[in-house]
Amino acid sequence: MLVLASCEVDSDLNIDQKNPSSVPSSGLFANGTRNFFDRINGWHENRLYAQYWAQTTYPEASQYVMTGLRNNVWATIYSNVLQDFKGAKELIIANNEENATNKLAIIDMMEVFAYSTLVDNYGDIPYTEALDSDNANPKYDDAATIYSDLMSRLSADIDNLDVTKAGFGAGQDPVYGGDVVMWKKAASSLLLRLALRVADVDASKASAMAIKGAAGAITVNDENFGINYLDASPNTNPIYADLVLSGRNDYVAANTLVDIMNPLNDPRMGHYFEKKDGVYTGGEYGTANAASGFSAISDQLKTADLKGTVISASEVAFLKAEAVARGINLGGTVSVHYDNAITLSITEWGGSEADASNYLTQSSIPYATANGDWKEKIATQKWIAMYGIPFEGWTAWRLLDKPTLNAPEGMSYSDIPTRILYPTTEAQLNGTAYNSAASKIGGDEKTTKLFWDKN
Amino acid sequence: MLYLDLTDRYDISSALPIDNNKYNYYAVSSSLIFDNLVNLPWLNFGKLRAGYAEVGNDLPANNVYDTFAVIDNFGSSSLFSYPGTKANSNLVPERTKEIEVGLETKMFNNKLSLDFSWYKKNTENQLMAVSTTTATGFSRKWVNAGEIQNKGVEVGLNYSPIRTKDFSWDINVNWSRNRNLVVSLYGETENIVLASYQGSITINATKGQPYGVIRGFGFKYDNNGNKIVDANGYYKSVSDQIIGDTNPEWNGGITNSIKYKNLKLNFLVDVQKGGDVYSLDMHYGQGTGLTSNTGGLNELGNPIRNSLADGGGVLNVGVTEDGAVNTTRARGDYYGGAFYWGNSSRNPSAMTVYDASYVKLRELALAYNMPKTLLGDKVSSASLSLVGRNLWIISKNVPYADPESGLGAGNAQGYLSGSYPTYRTVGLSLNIEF
Repeated sequence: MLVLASCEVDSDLNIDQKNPSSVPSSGLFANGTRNFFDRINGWHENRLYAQYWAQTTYPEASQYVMTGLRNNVWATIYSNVLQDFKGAKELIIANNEENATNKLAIIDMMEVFAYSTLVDNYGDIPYTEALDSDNANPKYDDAATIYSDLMSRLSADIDNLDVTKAGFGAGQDPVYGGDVVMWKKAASSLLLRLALRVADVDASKASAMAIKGAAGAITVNDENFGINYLDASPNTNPIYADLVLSGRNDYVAANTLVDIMNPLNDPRMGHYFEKKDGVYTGGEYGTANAASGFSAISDQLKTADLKGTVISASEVAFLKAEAVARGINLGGTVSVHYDNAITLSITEWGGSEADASNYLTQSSIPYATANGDWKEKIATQKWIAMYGIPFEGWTAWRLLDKPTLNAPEGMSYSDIPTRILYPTTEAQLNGTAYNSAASKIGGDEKTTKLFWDKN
Repeated sequence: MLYLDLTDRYDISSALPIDNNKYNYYAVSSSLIFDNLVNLPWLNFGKLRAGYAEVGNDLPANNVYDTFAVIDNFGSSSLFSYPGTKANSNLVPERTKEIEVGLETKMFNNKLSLDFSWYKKNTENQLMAVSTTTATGFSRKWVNAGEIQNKGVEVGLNYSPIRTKDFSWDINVNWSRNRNLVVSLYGETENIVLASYQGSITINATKGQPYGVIRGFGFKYDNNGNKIVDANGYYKSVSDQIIGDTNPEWNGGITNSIKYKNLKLNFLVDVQKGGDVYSLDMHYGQGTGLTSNTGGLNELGNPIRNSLADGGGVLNVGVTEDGAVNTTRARGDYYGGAFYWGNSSRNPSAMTVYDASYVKLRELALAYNMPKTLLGDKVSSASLSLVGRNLWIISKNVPYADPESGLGAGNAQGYLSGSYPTYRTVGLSLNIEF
């Protein structure tokens, strides 16, 4: 028996017609940027690790169980942020787009931000062999080497940003509406941040990069590097989505922050939290607190279109204070930068200049009279100020070892994490590379110290 | 008598890459009817068969060329993204090679018949969207992923002990056993995640293991195989362990048909031995205190839900880190205690892995054929039958759920989540032929 049938094979038949085969570079850039800002603002674990918030019925995350976070940081930044940036860069080059130099520098700066976030979470990560879909087993690179390369890239990006030319179109830039001057300030601020991360391990590079970064950094709150969220889902601030739209009551104020701010009569308290029975009271960090028993997260924070800031003028001023305290000569005194940082933070949250100057009249606040050495003074006030950028709050504690946090019940102080664990899937999907990285950094443990976490 | 069959078929698929879109299927099979050759009086029929076949397999459409995902606008910004799965323009057709030998016999006036077969099937270049580290930029990628081997035996036996004019009894037994093995995978990859589920559970193809092992947090064992219990009396857990194998050791079934005059009774008992399932229902059920094992009395005769100070709690069987027998009772008075759903340091997911063995009365049918004398001229035959299916789970080890109630689609075996009771169906049918 012989049967013959035939038809034409056309490759178009096998191309998904419901989805585009080619897209504009700016659509990939905007998507990667939005995903990055969403996650930095939406990883509430950082609000727990900084001990700004405590949990209610399910306290696991505040007890440092990292089940979701460890996978999510990795997966989001590599595949939902960096992959889109990579594609955007390729398209800009392939199509020889207008203002390519500025666009590439902006994307590169965002890539540096994303990679540094990975390093600051995990330590060693795939970098030189990352984002190659033909290499299923990318090796992990040394964190210090990556950091050094990131600072060099960022320094070049700042040089390449030409403020006389345009970047992405206003509509396709959800952060600065196409303003290259502002992008250059954000890139400079990031360079200042990265420089001070490595101050204890590479003082000369830290000094050079801090001076360069500080010279062009953000100085006022209007310039803050943040995405402008909208008031309708799915484009609201992730805090609004997770605390309001979800209908859940998972978080209350943590005693750690409330107990430090209360005696300081901090004018930001009412912006951070709601009163409970006439006072500000925090739930015990690391336990299951009654949702109705403690100060709630403020309504100000639960605003749908709250700007999602990831670098603020206040942070920049604290970084300058720290740099000068470390002997890096970028101008000004520690005290001036420190007082300025506090004032910028209070006004960022809606307080007045008068609130700030009142606050600074208390002897426990000004740099000259506050308790402790420079590290304790700067770390404590920076930690209070970084409530809106909680990853920097946790990192201030990691770098400067202050303020004193609370160890959850049954744990000791040395159990408080200094990094997050690699994703559970890495051992299965990229085992050889994972195992060698884990042993190189000193074990895939929550308490392994990152390369910049020396003193 | 010797028979030989040859077949071939040639396909061109539009779903595969243009350069590699052609494949053929062919099969050779031969059989030898040997009862005439051996001349044994008790042997009514005997046949030996052997066959070899290669089967090509296709790819689902739209997995060769990358496209982008369209994301809801962010204000005025239009957003596009790479999808999670990387397409691949270098795929080749999947190929399965199978060899099978078999024996069919009928003996003792056809009262006893036996059908036996053995097979070995190797699937090469298996087309799969495998999980990749997202450091590649994608969470999955279509690949030709290595080689999977299946080997097995199937036996069928029919026996008719009684066959008289009014009364007959037939017994049919079937039994099968399949062993599969992941021979090789994609590149250096030692493990491919086939499906991942809530509770940090994955179903995997692990090199050197059967296809479909369950991985998750496992118990921590000492060198003597004792489970290790922590200072608070909870089982310690270790990340990424093989905590179960979804493949059964064997399956079998026995059908009995008993016929007396016009009445016929049929029943089928199905058996599965071995295979594991993970139960998310028990994970949350225990964690929230819904299941009965979270209440009641402990070995001291005190309510488990009493505080430890009042003699409550659960004594987990195991040893402490230094090898002493555990004497610390784990808390049973709050959700974070002995029945808590666990994490990477304690209460491993292996706590809710169960043996999926079962014995079931799968079908029971009673039929009555109306005698011809009752039927008029116009009706040639009529029968009334009562059929019940899934009537009784005679034995099982999974608490509260049917071991077969898993999410069982494709690769996704061995995971119970939101299990419904299996339908028990009873039907009455009347057949009339004119």
